[in-house]
Amino acid sequence: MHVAEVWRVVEAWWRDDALERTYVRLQLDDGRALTLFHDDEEAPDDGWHEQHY
Amino acid sequence: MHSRPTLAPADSWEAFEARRDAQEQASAFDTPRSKAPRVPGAPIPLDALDGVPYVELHTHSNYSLLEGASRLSELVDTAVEQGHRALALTDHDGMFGAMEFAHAATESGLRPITGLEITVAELDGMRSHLTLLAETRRGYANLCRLSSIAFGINETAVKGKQERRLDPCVTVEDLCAHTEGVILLTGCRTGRLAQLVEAGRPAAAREVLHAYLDWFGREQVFVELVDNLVFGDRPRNEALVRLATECGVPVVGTGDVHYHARERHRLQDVLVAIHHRKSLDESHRERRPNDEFYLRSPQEQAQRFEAYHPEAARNSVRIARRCTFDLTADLGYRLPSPPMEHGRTPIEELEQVCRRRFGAKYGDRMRFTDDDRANAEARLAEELRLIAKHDLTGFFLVYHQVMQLATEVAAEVRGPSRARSVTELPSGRGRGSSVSSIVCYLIGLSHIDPVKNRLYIRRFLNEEMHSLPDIDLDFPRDIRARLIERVYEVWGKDHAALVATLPAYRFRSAIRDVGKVLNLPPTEIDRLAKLATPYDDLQKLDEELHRFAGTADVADGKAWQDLVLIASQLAGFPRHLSQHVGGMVISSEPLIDYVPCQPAAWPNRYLCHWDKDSIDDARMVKIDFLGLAMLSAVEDSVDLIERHRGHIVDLSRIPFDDEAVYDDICRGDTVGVFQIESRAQIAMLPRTQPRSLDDLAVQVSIVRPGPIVGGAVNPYVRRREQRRSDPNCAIEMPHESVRDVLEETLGVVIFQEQVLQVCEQMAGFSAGEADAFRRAMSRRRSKQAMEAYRLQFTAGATQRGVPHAVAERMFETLLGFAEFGFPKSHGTAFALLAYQSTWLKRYYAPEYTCGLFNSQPMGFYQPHVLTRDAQRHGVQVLRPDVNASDAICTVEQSAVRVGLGYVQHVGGAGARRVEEVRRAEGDYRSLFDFVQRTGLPRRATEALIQIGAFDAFGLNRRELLWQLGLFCAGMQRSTLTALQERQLHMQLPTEQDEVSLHDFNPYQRMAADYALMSLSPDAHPMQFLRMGLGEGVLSSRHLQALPGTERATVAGLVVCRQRPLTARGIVFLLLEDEFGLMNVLVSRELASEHRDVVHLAQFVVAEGTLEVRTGEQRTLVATSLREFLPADALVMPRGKAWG
Repeated sequence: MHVAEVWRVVEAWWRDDALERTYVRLQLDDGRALTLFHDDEEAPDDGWHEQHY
Repeated sequence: MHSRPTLAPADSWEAFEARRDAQEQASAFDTPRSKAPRVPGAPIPLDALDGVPYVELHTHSNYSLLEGASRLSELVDTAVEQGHRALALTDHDGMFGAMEFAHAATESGLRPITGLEITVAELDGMRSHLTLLAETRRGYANLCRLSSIAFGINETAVKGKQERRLDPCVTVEDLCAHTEGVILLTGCRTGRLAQLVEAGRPAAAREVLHAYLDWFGREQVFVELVDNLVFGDRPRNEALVRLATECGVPVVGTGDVHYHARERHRLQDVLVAIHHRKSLDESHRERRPNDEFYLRSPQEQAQRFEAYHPEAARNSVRIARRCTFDLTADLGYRLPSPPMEHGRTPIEELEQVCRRRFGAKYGDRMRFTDDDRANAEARLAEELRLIAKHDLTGFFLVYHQVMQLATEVAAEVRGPSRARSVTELPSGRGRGSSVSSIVCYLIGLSHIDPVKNRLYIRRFLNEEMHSLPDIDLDFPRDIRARLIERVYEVWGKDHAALVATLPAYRFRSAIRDVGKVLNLPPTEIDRLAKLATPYDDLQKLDEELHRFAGTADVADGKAWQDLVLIASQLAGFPRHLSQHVGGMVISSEPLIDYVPCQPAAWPNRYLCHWDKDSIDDARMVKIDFLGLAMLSAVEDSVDLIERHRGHIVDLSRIPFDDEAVYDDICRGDTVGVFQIESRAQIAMLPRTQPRSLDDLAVQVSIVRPGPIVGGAVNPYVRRREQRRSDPNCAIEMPHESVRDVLEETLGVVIFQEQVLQVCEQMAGFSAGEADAFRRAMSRRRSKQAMEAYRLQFTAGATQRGVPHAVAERMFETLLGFAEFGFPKSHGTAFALLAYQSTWLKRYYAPEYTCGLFNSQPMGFYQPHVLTRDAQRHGVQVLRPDVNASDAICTVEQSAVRVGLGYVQHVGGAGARRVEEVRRAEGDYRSLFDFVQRTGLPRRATEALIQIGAFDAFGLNRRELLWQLGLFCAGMQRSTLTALQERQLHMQLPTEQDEVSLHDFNPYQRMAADYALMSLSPDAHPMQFLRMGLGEGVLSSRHLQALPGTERATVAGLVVCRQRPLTARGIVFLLLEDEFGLMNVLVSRELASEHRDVVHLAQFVVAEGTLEVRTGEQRTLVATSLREFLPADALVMPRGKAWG
């Protein structure tokens, strides 16, 4: 497994549903790709979620 | 009381800086840049880059308009803090901030690299970006040319020029033709190469890269990698590295920086939304996806790009080393030098020109003694020596050439008017420090004799000059407009351009734009914006939000707090490119090799991309052709006098000691007079009692921030009063060493020259040191720099026997001139015009009033105030009449007839048409005849009816409107541009439809006058509103009769509201009623309590105590204030319902 890409999205900061999120795209050894995200307001080790497209 | 600042010396400069910052915010926004020093710092050597892991080569400042979210100073300061040693500025398509950046960076020890991110119009119609850096002087010239092309310099059609202004870009061919000396980075995500790689088109990408190599050369091209944690950055960079390796091209990492600190991403989002005229919610596609476009440290960037390629960061340093072009030192601009006659050298030519005029100016033995001539000779010799020493001969000869052109232009423009051509009316007049120069006087740049007026030269020319002297020229508007065209004809568009300004966001406009993109309610935003003053700050806006009923409940909400923060960040940012009021640069070499240029909005004019400070820093010849409306008014008056009375008035030969004229001035009867008409001037004139041109020179110079902050006003006024009561009374001087310098201004510093002279006389400064100190004050120099001057001043003064405390106090006084002040030469030039305009007002009031009306907008007062003042001086103001009025205002006997062009919806073109048709075909016989012959749009004709321009036809205005409706019912279209449609389709009888109607009542007519002409010739709103105010509200006439210190209540139309920064929050309201004007002083507390009334109300009732001092204007010191609305106070018979 390796990290294929990391990116961040900061959106809607002017609204109550502001979004600050870090995404990580993992390339798994079995060939599958997995995208995880983490809301930056939370602690770094908490709350990683899978992004379903 | 003396109002000298009482701050402790150590704090003073900070206090002055704070005050000046606020003042700049209030008034300076013709260009938003911080003021860079004129004397460049030493260039940063290349070895400064030793050991640096990374140089940022892709940075946008707020000169990437509505895109970059940081000021240059913020970027430079942050770069220095982070350990950067060099920085490239690569703003979008323009190089507006290049010179300012180069100076600011150099001064901060940062090596500046000049660059540009250019937009390329690709063959497939797409737009792409390339990052270009100036490696050499030739490369810099190519960047300037590319930027100029991007903004349409080569476009010939109007449409093409407009398109390029809105969408600057170059073609691939343009790019290919301008590659020498340029280093190419292949661009950010929107670069062609990056787009092709991202689209999975490696073959096409390879082709493009090879094309770049062909155009620029293999050594000049670098594949650019950007990583801002945007989705797609990593795979794209990896593909770009593979491509570069395959093609043998080096890679380089850049930050694509759009702001100096992460938190500015919000402002950047807002700017993008404003740019695209969308709300934040609507601009998702246009905004950047995150907050990662900030300036990072060299170490962080080196680490980031190490992951892609080991050389990506190091190559940025290699490029920085190669970019040896330094804009602060290598521009290479040379002053133009006109051709010489008879093989003379330039200095011989200049001397010849001066000698030719010397006899004419000083030869009259009745006016000049041998001593005068000897003094003038000595002065001329000294100035010529200094001009030769500083190699300024070409500079003066260019000005001489310009003035010769101006003389030709004036003759053309003035035409057959004997008054304007036979008399010695100059084509233009100098202002500023140049008026002190005898060379300027002799070559026609100034009309004031500097020897006779004892004007100090060293502010203008001295031994140690670091920049070109300032020469500003005032022209009547008509002459100025034609002169600018002539300059283009003579020098050509390649060698002459107007200087730019970049109008900045003020607090008010920032609130509007930010509020809009945040989707906040327009009504509340509008009201808040109206309440905001330019020197408001974040805290005041927040307070206002909490105070205002419309926002108090939600003021702590997220959106409103965002508004407060972002609007305060945005205030001061450049908003768009515009042209300076009159500055032009002229060059012997093509200008676009020095600075990008573009077509101006005005046809056949070109605009360079630098503001006046950058032009100044580049030591380029900038000639200020200023349009001075008062000159137009005066020339118009002289013309009218000749036409109506047959008098030729030569204003240079009128008596300058006319007691009656000075009586008017001393009474403060100066509404409409040049420079001494403001509320503050009118209040002061009765106390200072100017009785000569010298006195007037002081008077026009004293109500300026410099003397006010320097504490000069009250002592001067008091001493004038003392001198009047005892002409021999001794005037207290700060110290005997400055008696000669300050004698004429009664011991206080009023003129800029006196700052220099005091430095020389009291502290032993050289002329150059004194001028450097003056410049340091007027340009934002550090506290350390000012402290160094303080030490030099006090040490020098102490050495000369001046007590330390006296020296400290004097230095404090001089610091006041960090604010704006006049040189005496400028004051003298303006005093002359102030006197001449007062003279015209006294002896030729109708013509002068007419001249003022025709030169609007100008001056301190609106036309309706001038109307009332003219009436008080016996001048009748007549309303427009289609058979009597011209397009502009005219004089009829002792009355002024308002021109048709004054009427809203008619406009200049419509008014001229009405006049031309009447002159060609005879008077209009009826409304129908008028409509048929002029073809004016219906709205214009309606407006003319409403203000009474058809009253002479016998029908009342309602009946005329009814009749117009009947005519127009048969008219499908009627405009000036569709002449074939002007005739009514069929002249059907309308008599059967005509009805007898009651006319509008006087109040309605007055309301129409104000709405459509902004003045009423025969009515004032207060004469209708007064009865609704009840008992006890006094008129201005009653107020004049009160003995003083009495309670009084007054009411009136607010014609002026002033909140001088130097008045510590006090607001001055000038109210007008049907009898005259009234001064109302509103304390800071009261103004704060009634902010809405003070800022927004049209009609105000003020209660307070009348303050009366002998000879002074009366002022009501308000203790309460309220708005009154006409609808509430109006008591009128109920009108008949109609339609």
